[in-house]
Amino acid sequence: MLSLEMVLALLPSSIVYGIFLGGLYAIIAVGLSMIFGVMKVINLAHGDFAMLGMYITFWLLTIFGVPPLLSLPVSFAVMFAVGFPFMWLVKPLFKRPLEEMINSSVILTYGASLALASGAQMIWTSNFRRVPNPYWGTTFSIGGIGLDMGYTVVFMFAVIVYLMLYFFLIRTKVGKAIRAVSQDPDAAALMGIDVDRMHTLSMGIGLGLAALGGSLLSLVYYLYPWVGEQLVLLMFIICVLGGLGSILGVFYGALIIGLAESIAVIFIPASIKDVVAYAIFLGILLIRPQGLLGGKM
Amino acid sequence: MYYAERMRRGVVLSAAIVATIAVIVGFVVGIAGGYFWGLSAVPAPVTVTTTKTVTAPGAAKTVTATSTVTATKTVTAPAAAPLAGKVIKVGVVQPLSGPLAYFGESGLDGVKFATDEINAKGGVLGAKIELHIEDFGIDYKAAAAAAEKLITVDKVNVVVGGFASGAGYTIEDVTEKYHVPYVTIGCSADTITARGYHWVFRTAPNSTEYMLMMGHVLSMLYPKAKRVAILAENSEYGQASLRAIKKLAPQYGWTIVYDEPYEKRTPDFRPTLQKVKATNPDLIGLVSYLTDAALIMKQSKEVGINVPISTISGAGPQTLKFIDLTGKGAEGMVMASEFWPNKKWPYLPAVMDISYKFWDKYKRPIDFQAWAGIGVMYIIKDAVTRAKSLDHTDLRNAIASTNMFLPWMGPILFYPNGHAGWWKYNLVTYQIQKVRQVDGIPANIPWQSNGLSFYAVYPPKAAVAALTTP
Amino acid sequence: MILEVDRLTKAFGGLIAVKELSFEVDKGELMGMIGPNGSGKTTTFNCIAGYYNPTSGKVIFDGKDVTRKSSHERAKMGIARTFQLVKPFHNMTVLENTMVGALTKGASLSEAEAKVEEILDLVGLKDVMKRKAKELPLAMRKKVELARALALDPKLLLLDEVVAGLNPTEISEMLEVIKEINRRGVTIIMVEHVMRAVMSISKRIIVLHHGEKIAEGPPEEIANSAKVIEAYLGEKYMI
Ligand SMILES: Nc1ncnc2c1ncn2[C@@H]1O[C@H](COP(=O)(O)OP(=O)(O)OP(=O)(O)O)[C@@H](O)[C@H]1O
Ligand SMILES: [Mg+2]
Repeated sequence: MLSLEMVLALLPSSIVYGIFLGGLYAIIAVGLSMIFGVMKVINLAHGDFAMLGMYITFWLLTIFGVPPLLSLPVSFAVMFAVGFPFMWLVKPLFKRPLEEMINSSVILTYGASLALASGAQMIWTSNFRRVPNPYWGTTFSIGGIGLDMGYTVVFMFAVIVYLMLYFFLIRTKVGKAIRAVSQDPDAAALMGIDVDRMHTLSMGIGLGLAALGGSLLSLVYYLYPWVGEQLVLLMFIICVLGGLGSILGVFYGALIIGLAESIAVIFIPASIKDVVAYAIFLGILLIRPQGLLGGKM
Repeated sequence: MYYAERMRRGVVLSAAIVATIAVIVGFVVGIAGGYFWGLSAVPAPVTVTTTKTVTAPGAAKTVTATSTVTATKTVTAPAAAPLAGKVIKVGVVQPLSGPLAYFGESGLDGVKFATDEINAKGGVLGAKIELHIEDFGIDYKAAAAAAEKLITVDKVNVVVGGFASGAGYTIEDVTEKYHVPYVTIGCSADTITARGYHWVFRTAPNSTEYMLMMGHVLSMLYPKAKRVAILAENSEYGQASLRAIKKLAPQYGWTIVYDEPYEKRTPDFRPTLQKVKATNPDLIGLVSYLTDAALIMKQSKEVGINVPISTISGAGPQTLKFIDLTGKGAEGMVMASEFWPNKKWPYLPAVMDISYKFWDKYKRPIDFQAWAGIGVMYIIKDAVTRAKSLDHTDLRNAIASTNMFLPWMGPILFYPNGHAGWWKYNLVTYQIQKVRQVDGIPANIPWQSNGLSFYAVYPPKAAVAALTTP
Repeated sequence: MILEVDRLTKAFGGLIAVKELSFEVDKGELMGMIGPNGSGKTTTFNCIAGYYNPTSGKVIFDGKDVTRKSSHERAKMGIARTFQLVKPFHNMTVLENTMVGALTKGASLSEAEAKVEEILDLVGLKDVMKRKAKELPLAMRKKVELARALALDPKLLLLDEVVAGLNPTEISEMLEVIKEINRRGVTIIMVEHVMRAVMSISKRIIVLHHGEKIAEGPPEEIANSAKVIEAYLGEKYMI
């Protein structure tokens, strides 16, 4: 057990690390929440789309020499386009009653997840890879807290993308239409909103965000075909914690989990830090079953 | 989990289709085979095995296909090919999807490499080796299920594979139950061969052996290190290694100041590293499969750790991938490994030859897993040759009494508990150093990354380079 | 004539909710539609607004056959509605709720905002326009729906029990708003379970029973129709 003095010494940097980690989690998870919010589809393949984003960045860099940050829009655009055929895959689900639809979406997207990961293994092999980038391993320190350029860049972009997304949803016509659909598709349709189109659009945006998050992740983490399934459970917890479908909630959820993981390590072995994440998750759900900002979008 | 199950379903389905044909053809083959077996005066049990093989749905095709060959070969050269026309079915259980796939595939490539070589030279006593491959991802229960399926449905003669100690445990439970010999690929936890089991054999060094080697070398490198922090992942492998380290630490004058296990594969180790730093260690030892080790190396700089960090067990850091992922910063790191070509071997040209062939065929460096895969197949070949039988018990006994010498491997023997002894001659410490021409190892070896590769530095009889303080 | 419903039938499995229903609505009319519980009023609305595809029959709006058009297309053509079970966008402010309607008509954000404020003024929600829909009492939520529908600039407005659940003062307030909307040229069909409300403001009423039209005419005629009284069976007092 560490002394109080020691705990206090470790705390500030743990908080900083936790916030940075939260930013990373948030940007990967937000698309998952959005897809659920609008379509009530639980996308278990979300992590795998993030994985594809990582490989897009990797390929763009290794084949065409595109700097990793410039590949962000490409990642987004490519997976946005993939949203259309993917939508076509999940569309039959919408004919079913909601509960059954959610269940089937889990099975369907789990299948998609396996297919994507296996496909990636076929294309890129099971090799672990790294996207060489100037931020990797570059450190600086502020107030005695050592920081990594990679995480800092990721956090900055996470915030920027978040603000853009928020502006898009609150301030633009299409954004409002998407929110209307997420809150009540029937009413939205009778308000003249093409629900199908908004679904497809949100799927595109959701997958695009997953890939974008993956591209950012590749600045600080290794890529391999199965990295998606490593991510998806935690992302899902973050989304539920923040209130599935809530964009701002995801950010809070991610920060809470990031901070919890970082700070918990001071007191407990790192191997059980996930337990802390789950405990917080369960605790908050007991008090607020709808999540922190349940249903807001 | 994963596609193992789907594959399994597919196999069962196709087996069912083939089975119908097999039953009809089986009679013909059975009668013909029996006739010729009779001529070549092979003991009765083998004939029994033949019948088994014929009725096994999965293998029916192979049996029919080779039946004519069987006849002629057996007649002309009965002594040289007493198993002609038979199939040695080897079940391979490896992680081929998921985060361990990189290692699982490496081991499997080794198995395939040796199998192709052996089959190309006419098999073993005329019998061809046939591989039945199963994937368990990271689900160790699935590994047991896969082993069970291989034994009961595919009727394999021997099971190999595992890689992760956690999988080794579940597989050996199954092979023990069915009395089928199991030769591991990897699985270094001491306890794998300490459970009183009779059907398991391991060629990999165990955690204690890795630790003995690493402890020795690290105390040579960092003689002043007293306070040692160990970052071990919370897997069977990690914790078995940790136990070995703690047991042996006093011998090197080390006090273990940190030993909390860490959660595998998280993108952020900084909070953990801070805590490690707070314990004021002189040396940090890592027990990790691969990516974690590389990430810890990187993030330790951020946290401001400036004491030496070294891997202290086997697994991933002894693959070229580790240099890939860590980059130039990997230079100077030491690790114990049962295999790298870059050492003083009794038969260096043979080793280099295999390494190049493997590289050409699979486009990946031959590493400790590929190596184990190759070794395992040659052990099986040797056992079948001596047993002249594919019966499980005969095979098990033959493997247990293995006493062979492969020029590129050294002597191979098993202790009564199933653990191999050849490591004693082969477990070597390598150091990551700049690639250059040394002692019969050219500078243009393909197994290099960032201008670095592994060079044997200890013990002296295997060393091709001097151990240098990083 | 703005709407023509021609032998409309809607079946849910074995249950025929609307059966061979035909009626017409003139431009600028305020028509009432009444009927006991489960008589098919909401279903008729759903078929007109495009939420359901009818089993058979036709819906002709503004001279065009819209039977197979999707609901958002019809909304753009000028059919708007409110829901019996109120469905405003709960997490949006009143202003945003109303803007959704205006925006789908192609207005820019600033145009929409100006237009919407006028509508909110009309329905009496101006004071609460920055509040979230879910925070408002039922009467106001019903008005939010009304405002949202109006923002579509509808030619035809389908009101499904907009006064149900309101107290007498709220009812008369609401009826005033409806009359005003109608006066501005919007054709309205108003479904009401409670006849009194409809009687007071509509010139013509049709009555549904078991999905069929059993009576049609001016309010006083309907109120005294034996067939209608029988359909409501003892619920005469409600009239
Ligand atoms: N989606 C549906 N599936 C099955 N049956 C339905 C569906 N919608 C309505 N019905 C049935 O159709 C019939 C007519 O229902 P509808 O809602 O149109 O009646 P209503 O006149 O609006 O009644 P109320 O005055 O209670 O609102 C009822 O028997 C109802 O149960
Ligand atoms: Mg109704």
